[in-house]
Amino acid sequence: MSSLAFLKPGRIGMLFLHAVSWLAVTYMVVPLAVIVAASFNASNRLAFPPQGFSLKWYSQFLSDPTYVQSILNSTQLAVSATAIALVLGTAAALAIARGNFRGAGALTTLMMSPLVLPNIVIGAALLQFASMFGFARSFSSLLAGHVILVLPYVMRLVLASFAGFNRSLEEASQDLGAGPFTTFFRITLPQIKPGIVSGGLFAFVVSWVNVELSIFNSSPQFALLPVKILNYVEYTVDPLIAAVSASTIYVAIVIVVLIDAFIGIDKFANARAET
Amino acid sequence: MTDPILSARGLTRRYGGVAALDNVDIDIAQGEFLALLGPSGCGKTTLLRCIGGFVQPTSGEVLIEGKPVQGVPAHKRPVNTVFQNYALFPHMTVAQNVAYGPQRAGVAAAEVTTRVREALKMVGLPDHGERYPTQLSGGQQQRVALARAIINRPKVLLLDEPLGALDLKLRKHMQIELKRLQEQLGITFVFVTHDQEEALVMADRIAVMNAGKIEQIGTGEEIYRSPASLFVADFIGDANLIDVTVAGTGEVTMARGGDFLGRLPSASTGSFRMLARPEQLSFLGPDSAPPTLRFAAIITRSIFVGDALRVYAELVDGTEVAIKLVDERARTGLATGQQVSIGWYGEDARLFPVQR
Amino acid sequence: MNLSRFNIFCLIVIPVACLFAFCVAPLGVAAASSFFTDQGDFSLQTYWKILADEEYRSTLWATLVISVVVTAIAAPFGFLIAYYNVMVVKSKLARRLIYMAVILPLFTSNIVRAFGFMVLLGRNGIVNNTLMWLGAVETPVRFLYSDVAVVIGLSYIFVPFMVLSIASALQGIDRSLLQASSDLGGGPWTTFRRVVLPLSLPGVLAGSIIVFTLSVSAFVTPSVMLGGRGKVMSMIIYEQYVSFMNFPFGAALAITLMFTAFVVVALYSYVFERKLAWSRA
Repeated sequence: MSSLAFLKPGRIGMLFLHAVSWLAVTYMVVPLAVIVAASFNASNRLAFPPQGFSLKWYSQFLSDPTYVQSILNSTQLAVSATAIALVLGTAAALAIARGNFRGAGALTTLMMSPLVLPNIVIGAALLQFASMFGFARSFSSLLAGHVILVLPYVMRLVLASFAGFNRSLEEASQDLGAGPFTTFFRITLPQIKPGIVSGGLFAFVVSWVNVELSIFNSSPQFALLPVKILNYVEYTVDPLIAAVSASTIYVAIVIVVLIDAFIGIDKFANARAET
Repeated sequence: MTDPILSARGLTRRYGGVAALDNVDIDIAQGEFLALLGPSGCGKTTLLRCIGGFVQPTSGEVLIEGKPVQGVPAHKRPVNTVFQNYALFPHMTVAQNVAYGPQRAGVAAAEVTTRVREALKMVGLPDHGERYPTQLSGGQQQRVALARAIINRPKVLLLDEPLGALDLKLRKHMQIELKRLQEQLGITFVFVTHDQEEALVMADRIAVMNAGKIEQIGTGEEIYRSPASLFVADFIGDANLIDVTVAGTGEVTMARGGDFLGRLPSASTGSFRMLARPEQLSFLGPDSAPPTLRFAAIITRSIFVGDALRVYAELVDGTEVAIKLVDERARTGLATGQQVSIGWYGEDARLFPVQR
Repeated sequence: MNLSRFNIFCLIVIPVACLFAFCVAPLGVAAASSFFTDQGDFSLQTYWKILADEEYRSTLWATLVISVVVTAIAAPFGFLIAYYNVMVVKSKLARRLIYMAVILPLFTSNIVRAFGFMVLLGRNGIVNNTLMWLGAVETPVRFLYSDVAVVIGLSYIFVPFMVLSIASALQGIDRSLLQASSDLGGGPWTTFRRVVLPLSLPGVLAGSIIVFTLSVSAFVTPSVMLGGRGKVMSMIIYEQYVSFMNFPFGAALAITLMFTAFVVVALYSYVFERKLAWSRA
């Protein structure tokens, strides 16, 4: 971008732009930073400035079986939904990217449609539908909803991966005698791996943090952590729930760093924005 | 040159350890059509962009009408650029694109409309004002880019390989068009190209560049007939380069093997690489006039290239030379493997000294 | 790669079946249920009931207004960050850091972010404590439990969507267009106004539609930010489904919400359509 140097406005203008922009960027993480700070507060109330430093809230919730169970539940749901979505999404993306059939556009729209529908509407409709068939408020109805929720994200990232990949590699493979199955596993899959990995990471996160879809079908028997946090803060706020929330922030940080390591966060940002 | 409209003095641009431009000096006259010619990476585009103000030189200066323009930003320089990919604003119509420059200069709206109409007429697109760039063909886009630049009556128009994306026939047509336009407008054109034929067709003078330096500036004919260096000799036109030795007596012999070739009394002594253009060589027959230099050779192959026959022959030291035969009658009796005599007629040999 | 029709069928049959079974069918059933009375007759009475009720109308209106305001705030905010990151920042590391800062909130749950605002804006929160410490106010200001709090919360949550959408559009701008503008006499401000801004509009439009649609159906942030003192449409829908088990009514409310949102988005797109004619040409 050094070729844009000739466009620089006056020095004061530039300084102002830098300052305001970095303020805006900082604002994006302020609410999260605040939670993390509050979680180490030694006192029992959420007060600022924080009084004392303590890890007791973390140890408290980590030794609380209901919290631990809800973490496991959320993880189990997210992993299952992601696994299913990865298989289905990659298969569909493969068909769309390489299939050359007439309904490809319509199929893509269909598969992406959950993105444009409000989560609560999907959740509510699933509750209604599932109660007709007797599996409402169960792991199955939750799983069904979550698969639908994350499938578009997987597809979008895998499709983007296909787009950036030279088709003639596959043609060469088939020219040399490999059938479609072999070609897919030995040639295509390694090339689209970054898309699949980042799609999987993204799907996992989207499923894990989801509230709007989960509240319709979760139950006391299968509690999910984000729903639990929601129920909690409706009554009270304290450093304990701050510690619980902060833990989810730490996991999110790890995942962002992982995605950056796998495909680069800037490529991820640009692939994600395309519908 | 008195009062050049554009000059560069000691212009250097380094990127890390590499000099894209290395101490370049050039003077360009008002109304001249100058081509910057050279292979990729020779610095011609960098030079153009320094003039335009998009690249700042590491040292040296650019002068427009005698005034240094160091520190003057691109949008304030009295030069305009036709970009390689045209850079037409996709969100504006053709007319809006062309009007952009005059509007920036504060020209009144009514006047702008008139000038836009004239400019579009001049490039042959009078009815395309309301179209969008994406609706035009490559050639049409190129002409819009041209109109958009010349409407501002710049002191110098910079053209960065503008014909590169066009197919051959359209290119040739546009070369003539551009030349005609330049003569009509009287604007100084600085034209970057890697195509020597293009440069020869269009330019008044050609600056041949290599590795950041200007190897030679001159008219096409000067450069072709009297190349200043081996690089220029090899770059322009087809070149046969033959290693010879010239003795004090004017005797010319093959550098390897010592075969006698002839006499060049006016040449200096030493080891040289001699330039012989394919059209300067001919096959000697019983009726041929005695040549200045005579080479023994064996024909290796001949290739039909439409308007001529290109015959390749190997000299005694293994050098392969190319001879261009245009005359239909001269093409008979030349079979691969045949032993021939090749004659060079001339008085002025282009000899480039080499170390041996 | 050549995929036979059979291959294609095998690949898409299960994904499509899932979508139909768990998305299309449930939505169809829900939608259908809103058009029938308890007795099983086709009727629009549920919809009349919604539209006739002052409370539902005003909640719908409030939801739409909030969403418009949120979009209007998120757009310039997101534009600033996107522009800065794509056009101004030169260091690759800085660019990645900024993207990470923007994407990190997306990977945290809505509830966590809303909770963060509770901590920020609560009576004992940072903002109030700072204001009192500075002496600007004497008693804590009530930021939370108002529509304003919802707007603040939602605009924060949706800025990343705007950033990504606009950054994508800005990224796609051919750099030679900026040079051309400069070449023709356009200074930095003119180049921004006449080249960068118009060419970023498709990204702004797409981002606005995403943010508006998400805003209109947001549940968590309004619930938390309003704290029981007010409702948005999504909360009413939830109530009908989970508290009252009145599925047909909840479905009708959902459809009403989606329909009005769709009308707003369609109008908005139509108005923009003319300005963006060039991108379709």
